[in-house]
Amino acid sequence: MKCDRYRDALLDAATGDMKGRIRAHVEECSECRAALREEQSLFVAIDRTLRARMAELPREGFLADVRARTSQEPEPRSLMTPMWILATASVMVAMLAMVAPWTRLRHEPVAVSGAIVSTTHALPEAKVAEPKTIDIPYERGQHGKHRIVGPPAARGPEVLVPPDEREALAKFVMHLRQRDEVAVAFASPAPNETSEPAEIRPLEIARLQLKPLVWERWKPAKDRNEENE
Amino acid sequence: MQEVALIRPGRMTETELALETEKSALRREFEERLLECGTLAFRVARGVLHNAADAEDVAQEALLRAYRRFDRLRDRSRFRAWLVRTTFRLALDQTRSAQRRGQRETLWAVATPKPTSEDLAASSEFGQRLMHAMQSLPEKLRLVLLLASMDGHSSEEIAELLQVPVGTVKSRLHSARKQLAEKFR
Repeated sequence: MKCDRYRDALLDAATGDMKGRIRAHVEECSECRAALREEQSLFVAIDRTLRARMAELPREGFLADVRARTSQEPEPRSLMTPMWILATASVMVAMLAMVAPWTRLRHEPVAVSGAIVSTTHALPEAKVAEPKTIDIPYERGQHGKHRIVGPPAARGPEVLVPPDEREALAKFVMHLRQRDEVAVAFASPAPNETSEPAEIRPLEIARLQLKPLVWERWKPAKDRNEENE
Repeated sequence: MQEVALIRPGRMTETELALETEKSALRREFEERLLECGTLAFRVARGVLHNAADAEDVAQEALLRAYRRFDRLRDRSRFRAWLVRTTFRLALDQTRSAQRRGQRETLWAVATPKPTSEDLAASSEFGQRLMHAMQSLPEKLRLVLLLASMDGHSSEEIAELLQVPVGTVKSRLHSARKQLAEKFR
């Protein structure tokens, strides 16, 4: 009964972790001493078997076989070869080129009043009579080289139009399509720089004539009217 | 009149030369690692597999994979750790697939110096029981036990190989041996 308490501790002791309390008990108890010896011999057998197995060597031609297989493989390359650096740079440039247009197209809708007019969608052909939305093709962010473009993938800025002006605006937009130069001027932002400064002429002021003051007693307006009559 | 042209090595030639130098350096380093760790890979595989030919196949495959990604494994300790883990994993996969197919019956061949027939029978029986007991161990405990059974592998070296603390190695080793012993009761 007393020895049962030490059963697990004996197993730990056999692996080399023997505490003072167990040591004292094993010195006293011959049964536990025999059990400990048995456990220790088991561990010795396990270790010996495993060591024998793990000491085994491969056959002589093993490394030669590995060399033969690696010789059929392409040469291992260093991570920082010039070609690798070039390829990485190319991928980064391509990604930047893909991302840049999208950052330009990001703009908020412009609120005026009334209905919504999208300025980035294609012009409607059939819905002129009752236009709910009117699309004006317009590419923003390109100062100096404006052109009428097709429908882009992303929705652009929207202009609110009062209900009573929808038809007029629709006709105006339809008319713009026939006159590109007006459309361009309408859809384009004002140029940032002017070619020549405006001519400024000096302001001409006529000579000032001063008349001598005449003393006149103040009279109410009623009296002055009577005198004039 | 025949024109004489002076040919200088251009930038491409210099680049190619640098690449060739780099390649030969990599090749030389891999050869060093192969001599140093080839046996280690075989032994790790052999600890899991019960057939030397299978263990060689697995070790070769692991070394080939190491060669393919040697640009990332040039550091010695990193190479050894990666090789041990990969070999162990491949060997486990091989065992599992063999078990699934049920086609392979492996035997433990314990290399003891000139054993008697009784010893051989006894060790073979013990080896088979040990093999089954090892298979039931958790993988982490099993790998630590295998590495500890190799000559010259201290707890510190195993910790470096597996990239775990030394205390963890000792704890796993203790648990592995204890669980193995319990299987024999």
